[in-house]
Amino acid sequence: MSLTNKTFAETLQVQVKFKLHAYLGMIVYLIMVQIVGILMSLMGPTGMSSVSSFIDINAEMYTPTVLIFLSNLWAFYVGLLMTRHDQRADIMPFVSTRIMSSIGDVVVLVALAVYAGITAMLSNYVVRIVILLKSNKHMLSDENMFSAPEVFIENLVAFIFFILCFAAVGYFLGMIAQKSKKVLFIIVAVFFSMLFTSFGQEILLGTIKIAQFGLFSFMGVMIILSASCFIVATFLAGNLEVKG
Amino acid sequence: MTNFGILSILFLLLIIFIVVLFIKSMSKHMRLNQRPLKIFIAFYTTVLIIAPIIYLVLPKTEVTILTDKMQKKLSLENQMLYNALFENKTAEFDEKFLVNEWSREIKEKEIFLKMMNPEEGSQVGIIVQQSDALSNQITGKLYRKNYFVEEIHLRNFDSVNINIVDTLNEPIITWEDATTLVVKNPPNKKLSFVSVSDATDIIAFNNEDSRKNESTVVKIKEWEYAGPYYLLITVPKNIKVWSDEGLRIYK
Repeated sequence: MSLTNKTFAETLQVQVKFKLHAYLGMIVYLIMVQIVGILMSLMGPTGMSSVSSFIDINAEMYTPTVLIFLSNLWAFYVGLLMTRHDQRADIMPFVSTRIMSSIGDVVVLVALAVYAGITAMLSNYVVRIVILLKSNKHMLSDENMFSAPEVFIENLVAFIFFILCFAAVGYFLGMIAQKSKKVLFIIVAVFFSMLFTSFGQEILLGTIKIAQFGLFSFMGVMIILSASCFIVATFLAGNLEVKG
Repeated sequence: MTNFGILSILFLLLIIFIVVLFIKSMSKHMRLNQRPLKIFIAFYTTVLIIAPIIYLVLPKTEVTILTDKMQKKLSLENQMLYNALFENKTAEFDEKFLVNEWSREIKEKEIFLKMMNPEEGSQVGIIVQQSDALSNQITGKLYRKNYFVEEIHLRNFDSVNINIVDTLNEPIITWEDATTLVVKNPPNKKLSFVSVSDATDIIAFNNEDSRKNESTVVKIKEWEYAGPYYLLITVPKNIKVWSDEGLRIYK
């Protein structure tokens, strides 16, 4: 029983603040993963060369692909971690309802995805600086946030949704695992069987094609997938028992 | 989906597994205090925010990417130079295209021109001009025309064209003996370019564009007439010029 009545927004704000504080360590792991990503980006650019009379041309291309990929893996792990029994048990005394806790989780994952997306894109500029300093190669196609802001913003938005989607899938699978290991096994089995059957491959390829059609369809697929994962996970969380 | 596609997904899952294990083991061994942790995050974030500004102010050796209009202008200049070589009006092009010139007094009544590597194709277009002068002096002028790389095509990005006129090595022109002028192709110039972009091919925007399916290539434009160099040799009428590779002689 409480002497003061807090609104939904106030309670959620307190929850999110508390959870962000609790998962601050995860940001350090993101930073470590991104540092690894920066090193990997520097080591493995896409390259091609052409030889003709008079000239041998070699061109290397650097993109933030590795950084985004590693940030996605981190997001997947954070989503998975949030559903772990010991994590939920630690946080439970500070939580008003399970639904509230799940909504708090979603808000925290969104905040972390935004941070991960922005830092991944900015990490690409560290890569650029190192390239500039370590070699005197001619800069060819330099799309940066100053010369092509639309490319930067377009990709930033897409990456945030991409990272959020991985976090949502991790959260969903983690919640399934808490509920029933058998169901998780079935889901993983279905996914792998899809890879090896023509019908399953058609579904996967169809989804990828829809996502690749443009920025909005990509975001649409990511939003639908993320929202579905979060809604189902929240529903499952409502039925979970937390034992101290 | 091909076997290769399935293998790549399985490889991806293996990497996911390794990274998750790595983060998990890190989280077990590390106990971080809140305050230093916040300072570390703030420091990293600040570095990343400053990085684009540092990148902006750093000096870069950027290549001028040619627009269609610029390319047409360069091609037109090449054509004009070519015409001028045959009309004896090269003076106006000397400032832009002349690489070097030389003269030589010869006693014999004939000279031989020899391409050292004729099998590689004529990279230096030799043009012999006959003058009315009665002296035994022959002059040579080496011109370098506009020469550009056409289509450095990076996957998912627009192809770019660049002018590399100033970067090529010069052909080596020497006198083998008193009467034989040897033109040797220069060693290949090695050029390295870097392209950095905020875009990535994970998410193929504008996928309807057929360019997306093309692979990354560098195509080098073939020049319109002869190689990127012209060697204009002016000889008095009384001196005969011979060459196994053929000559363009005009009066």
